[in-house]
Amino acid sequence: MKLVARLFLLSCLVSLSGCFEIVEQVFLKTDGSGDFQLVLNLSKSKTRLNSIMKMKTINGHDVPSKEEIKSRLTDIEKTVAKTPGISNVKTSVDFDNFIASISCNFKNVGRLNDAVKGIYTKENAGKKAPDKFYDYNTGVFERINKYAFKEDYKKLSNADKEIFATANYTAVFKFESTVSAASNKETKIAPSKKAVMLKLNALDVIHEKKSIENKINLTN
Amino acid sequence: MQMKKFIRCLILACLTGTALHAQNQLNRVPSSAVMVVKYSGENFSKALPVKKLDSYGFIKDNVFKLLHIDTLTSLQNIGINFEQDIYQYVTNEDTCINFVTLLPLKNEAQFLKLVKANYSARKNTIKKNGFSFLPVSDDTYIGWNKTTAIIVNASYQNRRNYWDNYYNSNSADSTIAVLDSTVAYDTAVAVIDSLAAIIPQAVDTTVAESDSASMEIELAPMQSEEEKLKEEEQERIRDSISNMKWELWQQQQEMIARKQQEAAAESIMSNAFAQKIRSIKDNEGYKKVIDPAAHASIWINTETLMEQYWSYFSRGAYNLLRNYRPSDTDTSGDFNSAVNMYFEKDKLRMESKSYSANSKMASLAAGVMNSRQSNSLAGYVNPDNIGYFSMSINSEAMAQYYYMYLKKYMASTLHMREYTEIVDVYIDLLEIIIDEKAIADLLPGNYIFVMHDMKPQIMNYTDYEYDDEFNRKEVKKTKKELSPSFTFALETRKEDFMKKVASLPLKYAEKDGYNYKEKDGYYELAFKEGEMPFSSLYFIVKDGKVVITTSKEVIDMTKNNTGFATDEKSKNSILSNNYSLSINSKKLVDKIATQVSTDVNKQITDYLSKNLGDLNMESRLKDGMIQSTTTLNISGNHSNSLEFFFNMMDAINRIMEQDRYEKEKKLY
Repeated sequence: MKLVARLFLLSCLVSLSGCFEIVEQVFLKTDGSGDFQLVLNLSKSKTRLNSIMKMKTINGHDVPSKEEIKSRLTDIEKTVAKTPGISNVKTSVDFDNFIASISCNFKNVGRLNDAVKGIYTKENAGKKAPDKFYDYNTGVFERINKYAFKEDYKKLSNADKEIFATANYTAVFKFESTVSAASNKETKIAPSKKAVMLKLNALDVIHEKKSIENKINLTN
Repeated sequence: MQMKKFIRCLILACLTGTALHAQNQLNRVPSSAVMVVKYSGENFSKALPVKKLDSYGFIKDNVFKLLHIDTLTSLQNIGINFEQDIYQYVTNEDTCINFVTLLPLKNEAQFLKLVKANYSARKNTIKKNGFSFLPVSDDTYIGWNKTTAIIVNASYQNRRNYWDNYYNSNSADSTIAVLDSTVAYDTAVAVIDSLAAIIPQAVDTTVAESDSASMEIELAPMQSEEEKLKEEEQERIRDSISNMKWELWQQQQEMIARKQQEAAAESIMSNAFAQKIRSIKDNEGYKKVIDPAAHASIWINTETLMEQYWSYFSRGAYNLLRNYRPSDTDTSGDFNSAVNMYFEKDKLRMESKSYSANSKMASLAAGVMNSRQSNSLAGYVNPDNIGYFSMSINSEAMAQYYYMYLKKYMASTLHMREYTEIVDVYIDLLEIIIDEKAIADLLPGNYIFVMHDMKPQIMNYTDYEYDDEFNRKEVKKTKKELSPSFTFALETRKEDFMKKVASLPLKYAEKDGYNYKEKDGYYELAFKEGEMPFSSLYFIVKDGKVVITTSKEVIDMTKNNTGFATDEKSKNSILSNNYSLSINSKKLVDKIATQVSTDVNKQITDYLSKNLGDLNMESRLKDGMIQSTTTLNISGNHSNSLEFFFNMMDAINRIMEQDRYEKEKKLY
């Protein structure tokens, strides 16, 4: 989640019970290839963000200009596009509604991990990226999270903590195969058994009360 | 750390009490002080007995902890006599800014116990002439006798920049020259330099590079791997030597600071205990503005403080005193201001006064205040408003005051004193070039800001909904957001110029992508939905007024030359004062409460709504002085306004602690 916030450089723009949603969507084909999309929706806080964008700093953080955000997003797009096995990389940012997104196609889950790792390394200089964010092996798709948010959250100022008070995380995973089970209790399975959804409050994830990790068993 | 020490001193003083009894600490406050704070023991202890202070949870949780007092001990038993006056003052002495606290004691042993608990004193108590002296840290010193304790927080302000010294070895000042530490630094640097000289010089590649640059084909000789390594090693050694020199310099500056701070503290204490000082109590500028009956008072030498403020920001903290006016400067003509505070049953009342013994300065101030707010601007204050601020000053007189102030400031600046006549001529020339009358015509000095209301407005936003198969669909949703309705208006006698300015954006609106349009006698700057908390900003220049507002009603009123039915109390206050401010705190808090989402914030706003009253301020010229009265009304069950502040802090602390407890209970 920290990665996502950094990815779009917008988390620092929300102050005082800011409200945002992160949507992570993966469509996985039977051969292991698929599409990936990540969306950051700050629309509910757009009036406040418009005001903040006119400031230089907020809560001690520099406020990036629209051009800086666009350029950073372009950098990320280039990094992802360079990853072997990744194609059709698209980024978008809508400053009227404050929604940013990145999407791509991947040849297999390993390549998707490489792309996310590339961004992680770029955004967290000097830190070792986790080996895997996703895994797909013998009919099991897994969302892995080796990152503990709790300690980083503790270090934040109260004003920064407020940003996460009403934030949400939504993961939607769709498959060509049929879902037989999901390890995360919060997971909803679609009637067609071809899709699952996990919607969590960001604070629950940060405090490790709930997890974004999930193991989805698939049958052909 | 520094802040913590300061807070400790402040807390000790804030928990105070009384008037002139057995000993008058005011005798120990020097006339050179730039700021003096007095806590009247008698009034404080009546308004809020020490016993009551002991009962507050947040005092036990935070203040006791900070002062290292166990929760079973009472503040009555820490040796300080809270029933007598406590003073704090700030003074500049020996290149140090000193924050001094004068505490009356009733039990020396109890006070020493408190000191020992708070400071792990590195040195033993030193017996001085008539008092005991204890350096408790590098910048905090305590001195005491049986009846009084003096705490000095000294901060040396003349630290030198390493790079100034590096580039100009002759720049050492006399202070540094007399100190042994300089010798130590110089000796150490000499040793380092001689060591550096032993290091073989790096291979000079410059010649090779420049030669190769002048020849087109010939290449510079390649450095061998061994030479490169040798050069890198020498570079590393040179870096270490530079770092060492820099560290030695910092250590030397620290040493100088410690010596100067200790000397300043000792000098303050010796003079205070021996009562060898000219007390501020005899200063006309102090007597005139301080009310001895006030529950608390703050006195400041406005100009000195302002100069320090500007000096700090323009030259940086390390140079605060470098070009600062010398101690022999005559400050009797400076403006002295004081705020006298009274903790009454239903309100906090603060009376402030500004006075200068210099008749020219006083008459300039009177000139600035020689202005009256116009009826038509007062008409923008709607009944039931959230708040307003009205200001009416004489701009032309203000410009004259600035010239005078500039001359005084320049003349008192250390390196400018010998050029006073030249500076005078320059400022006179400036006065000739600048047309104060024209400036005063453009902006005569009448301004008003009114916060009419804060109404919820519907705001659209994009959200996502998912169907049974979790296909995402963008949906438009609405939510209510507070939208401020406000007006800022000012008077002008240059209406044509202001009209030109107001119409200027029309030409560039399309090119720069903003929606600025001329309407029927006014202009509208419309915003995209969600771009600003309000939809439009209107501009109108009419009948000698420039109005910027979010309210179309205000524009219509201006066009029709009408106004709101302003309530008599507000109208009188605006028209009979140079400054008038009013904030309906309850209304403001209630409006903000509609946007608060968390339970803890809801409880806090609810408490404030029930207990906080209106805030009002009025200021005008009275008895030759600029005098202001500020009142903060309170409601709810409090004995007086001082108790209200402590009750409020206690209540908010309890709400937050309870919330923290609930959250932790849920999580684990």
